[in-house]
Amino acid sequence: MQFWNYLIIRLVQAIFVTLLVVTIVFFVSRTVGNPEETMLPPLTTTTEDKERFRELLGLNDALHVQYGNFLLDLLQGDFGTSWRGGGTSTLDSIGDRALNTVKLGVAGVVFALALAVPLGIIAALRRGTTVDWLARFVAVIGQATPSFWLGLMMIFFFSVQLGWFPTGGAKEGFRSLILPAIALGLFELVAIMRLTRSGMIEVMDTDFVRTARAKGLSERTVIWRHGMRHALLPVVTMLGLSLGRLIGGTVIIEMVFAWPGVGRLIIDSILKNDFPMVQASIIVLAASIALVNLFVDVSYRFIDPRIRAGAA
Amino acid sequence: MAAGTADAVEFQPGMRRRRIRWRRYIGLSIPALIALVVLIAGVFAELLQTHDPEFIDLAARLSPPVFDGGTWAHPLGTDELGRDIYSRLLHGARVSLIVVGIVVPGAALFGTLIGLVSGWVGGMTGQILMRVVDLQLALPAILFAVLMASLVGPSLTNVIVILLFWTWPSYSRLVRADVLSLRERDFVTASRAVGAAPAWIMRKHLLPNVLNTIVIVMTLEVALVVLAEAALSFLSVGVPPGTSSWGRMITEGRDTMNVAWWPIWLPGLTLLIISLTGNLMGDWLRDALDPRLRNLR
Amino acid sequence: MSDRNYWQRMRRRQLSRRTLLRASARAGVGATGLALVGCGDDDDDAQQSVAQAQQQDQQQQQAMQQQAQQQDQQQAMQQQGQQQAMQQQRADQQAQAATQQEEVAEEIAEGAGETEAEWSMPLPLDQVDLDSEVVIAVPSDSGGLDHHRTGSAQNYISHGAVYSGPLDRDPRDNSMAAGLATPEWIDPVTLRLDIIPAKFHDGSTLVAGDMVFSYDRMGGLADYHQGGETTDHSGGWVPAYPARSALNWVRNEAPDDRTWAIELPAPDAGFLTVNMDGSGEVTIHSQADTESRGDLALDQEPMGTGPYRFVSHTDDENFIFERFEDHYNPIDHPLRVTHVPHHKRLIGLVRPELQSRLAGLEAGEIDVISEGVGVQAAKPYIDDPNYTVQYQPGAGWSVHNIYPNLWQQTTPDGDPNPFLDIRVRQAANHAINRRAIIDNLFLGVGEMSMLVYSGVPGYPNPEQKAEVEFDYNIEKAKQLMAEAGYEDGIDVPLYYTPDWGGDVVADLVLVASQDLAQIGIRVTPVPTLGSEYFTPQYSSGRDAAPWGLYWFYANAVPDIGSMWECCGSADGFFTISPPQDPRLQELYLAQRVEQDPDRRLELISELLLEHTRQATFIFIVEPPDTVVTRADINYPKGGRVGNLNFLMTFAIQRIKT
Repeated sequence: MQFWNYLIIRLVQAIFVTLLVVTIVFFVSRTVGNPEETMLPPLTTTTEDKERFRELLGLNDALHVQYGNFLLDLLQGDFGTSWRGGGTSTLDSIGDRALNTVKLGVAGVVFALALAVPLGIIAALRRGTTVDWLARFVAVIGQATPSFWLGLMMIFFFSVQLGWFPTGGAKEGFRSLILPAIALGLFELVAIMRLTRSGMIEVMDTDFVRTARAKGLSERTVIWRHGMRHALLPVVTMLGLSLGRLIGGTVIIEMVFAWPGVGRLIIDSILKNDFPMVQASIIVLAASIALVNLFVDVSYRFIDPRIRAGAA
Repeated sequence: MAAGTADAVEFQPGMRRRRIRWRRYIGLSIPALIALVVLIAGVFAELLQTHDPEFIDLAARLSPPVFDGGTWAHPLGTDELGRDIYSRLLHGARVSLIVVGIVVPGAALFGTLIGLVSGWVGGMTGQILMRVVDLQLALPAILFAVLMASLVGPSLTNVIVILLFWTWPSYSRLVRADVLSLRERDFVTASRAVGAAPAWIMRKHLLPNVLNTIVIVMTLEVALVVLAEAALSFLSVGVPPGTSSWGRMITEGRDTMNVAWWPIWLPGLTLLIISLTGNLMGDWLRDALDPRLRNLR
Repeated sequence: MSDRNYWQRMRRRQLSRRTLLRASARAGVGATGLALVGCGDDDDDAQQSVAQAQQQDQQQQQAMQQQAQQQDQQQAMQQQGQQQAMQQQRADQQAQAATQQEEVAEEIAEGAGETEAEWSMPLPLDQVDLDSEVVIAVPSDSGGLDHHRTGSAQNYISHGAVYSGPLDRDPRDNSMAAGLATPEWIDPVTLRLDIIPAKFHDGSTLVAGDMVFSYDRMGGLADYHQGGETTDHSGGWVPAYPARSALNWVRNEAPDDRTWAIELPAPDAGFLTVNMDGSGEVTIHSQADTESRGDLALDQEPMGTGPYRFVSHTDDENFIFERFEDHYNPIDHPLRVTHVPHHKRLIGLVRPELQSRLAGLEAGEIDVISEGVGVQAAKPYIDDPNYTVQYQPGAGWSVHNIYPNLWQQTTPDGDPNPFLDIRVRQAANHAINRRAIIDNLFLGVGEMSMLVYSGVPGYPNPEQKAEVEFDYNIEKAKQLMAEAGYEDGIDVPLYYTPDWGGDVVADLVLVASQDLAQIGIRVTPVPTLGSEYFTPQYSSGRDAAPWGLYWFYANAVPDIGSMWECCGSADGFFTISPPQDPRLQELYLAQRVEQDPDRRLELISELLLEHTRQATFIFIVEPPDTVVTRADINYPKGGRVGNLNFLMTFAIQRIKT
């Protein structure tokens, strides 16, 4: 019962956050910019077109009426019409790209996790040794490197000089994914590694690990069964929290590696003044981030029942 | 490398206390020195420059740096329009300083205030405030920047507004967590019991206790803000062309990357060193002031 | 400034390939080995292609016969007769073309220099891998592929591949050549065009009704696309070329399937080049197909009569086209060796980052980079035997000019607009160091810009141009400023859009600003978004455009008329253009009604020269488009028409190894 309450609370919170994003996008775009100028193609739009457009979008109504209609449309799945895609619904275009962005994001996280967790654990267990020192050196550098710069350098070194990977695009499946995933995942890798390391150090000092050792369990069992499970809890939380950063990162990485995802769609749409597309993409991304955060929080509750409802 | 010393030392047994301290300050000295250099470079850019950073000298375009066969006329070479890279780096430091100088304290101030209030008041108000804070997680800065740029065009003001918007919630979240634990502590409950005003309690008891957290986060945010500004410029939603910003310089160096390494490597390395400095100082402060916060990032 | 047109200076490697060709030509293949095929010579390739052509003719006849069964017998016979007449005509054209091409081949054989051709020839087919795939990198996706709709007409690869226009350009002299239609002026306002029975990709045959339909659709007139009810574009139909609406004609109809009739409201000698040039923006669609599949389908899966069939388009990733074997082509087109593309598949790969495109080229994923690669970025490839670098007349953002706002009579402070004084404009033109720009930014390739790009018919010859060109003369400029009473200089904003035209525009803006500052014209560059850049001027009338300078980069417009409509006249939508000068207006109107083509070119030439004399703009530079290909690609020069990716992608060849 308590779980359901918690779930409902979190759900309401997620909806609230999404609503906030929608509201910000709506009011910023209607007040900071002029919808006629941002939403209609330039050059070829006549006064009659504009009048029709105002009618169609109800721009002559009061702002709060417009806002209400905007929300109603969103609820009905109408995210607006892209004017560059031949009148396609923006949602359709985003749907096509979303899969690619998800692929990239997941690959980035998997890369980060696959390297960061073992490295973090080793660094923690061999505290003060060369391995530890090296891992943290890489971490500090990695966290300080601009990802777009790194991406360009990687393309030049690995794709052009060595010819190991394609230079961009998503055509070659897995091979295409490697470089962008690394460039995207590096920042997360560093964060996860630091977290794993410090978590592991803390856990290995706790009573229950000492007890486990005292019981005569092998060091491996102690590390894997007891230590890691606890050390990884904060990693799960952080992954949820860093999702926004990750998505922001994909925008840059997609531009550098010509990856056909939502991020590139947004930037391209800006350059082509396709404002409805920009608006819809931002709302969809924000909503999905809120959803994943919700999912992480709830699953976290399953992993660690100690967390009290609402304390997250 | 000084990078790891602070952290590496703390758990090592059998070391004399005095030595630990000494080594700790070495860990700080190098990043502090770099920070000082950047500060001087940014403030006294006009005095230190060898050329007007925006002066175009097409005939001298893409001259290599002096250590790669260039001349002392342009110690770090020139970019594709013949602008002096050394002078541009100096002025880039200024842009970074301006952005950091406004964004970091501004966000810290606002974020702390929200964190204090939401932690202290709690209840529905606190919850709503924290959901606003969550907005940062749901709307990545880059998306917001892109939205703004599509509406009003790229500018330095935009960058500052966006980064302010993006960074203040980090402070709120941590401060709130601190306040939540502090308000149950004896000295706070005692003050409340004798009827002290909330504002007084916040100023006298809560703020001093969360100050460490704020200072550490501020230091760590410096690197983040510098990198973010560069990233926004890269996507051409940041500082407009004609301004010497490091991110801008990297963007401009892209197209000649295959003929000249320096226009993209030099600002890239500078950026790396600066953000490294920020991180190291943050790490150092964290270890020195508040080891609890090790999991911050 | 160069005293010759710059594209006449060819890359050395390009020449050496020519030398090689010359050798092969001398070795017995004969001059036609170069110019070849379709010309009915006795060489193998020629026979092969003639056989192909005959086969095509048979197919067409079969198609005609099938049609005929469904139609009135008499009419069918009439059509047959027409077709025979057309074949006769084609045979004549073949003969003509053969002569022309022999001449050209001889010219080439004479080597570089004065007689050098302005486009390069395709290789004989036995040296070409006909089953190959050619990959062209493009910087951005077009979104939709319906070229009649706003926002779609941005990718010229997809445009030129799938569609053909009513008329073609002869790359040698830029004159109009028959395409899908053969035009004939009945009188100065009545145009009659014979329509060839070209095949659409779905197998149907082009009829004159399709031409009528396409033109109405292009101007946004066709009922089918109007009113917001029958269209599936929820924002209503937004035509790409409102300028080409009914204003341009009073009658647009098809008396029968092979005849298309157009009547103009007034004589317009530029009508054909402005409105019918396939290398411009005109595309011909099938009415039946469009109406059965709908606008949206056409935008996603275009279908036309072009040299390639559309295969697939993945947004922001690639376009894939394959050779359309039944492609009908005017026989005398000098580049169309086999009537169909010289390679099997054409792939457009979307890569936004220049470095990523170059990396793809080096890694062998990309064969051709023809858009958005600067002269500088291409420099390392010039001496590398693995690549070929060419400079082509620009098809992209090729004319860089600064437009002073000459509509506002005063500055915001209430002072008179200084740019209304011709001396100020002349001073500004003298302050631009074009030599430095060309030598350093464009490695010596490029020339001072004029109102239009240098491929437009009527562009002044080098001697004429040299007379009006502004030299770099700061003293003179300062003196002019002083005479005009602006010793203290002028502070003025310069509006430009960094997101259009790429980095080269941003660079040029900075360089020009610095040059102008030398004589006291203190420029503040104001980057604006494309929408802002045009909207106030366009929507609110020219009075709304703020005083200042505007950067302008013009496309490779096909005719002075397009440029005039857009940017040169008082009626242009680009409303910061100069006010109606009587002399300019008179020249423009004169060339419009001039029926003698040569005289018309002279008038246009005089118009352009007069524009420059009056310094209506601050002319900066016309840089070339740089094309970098892998060495096994023969990328023929487009001649004055411009970069090949515009339309003639079919002429790209992969050399057999």
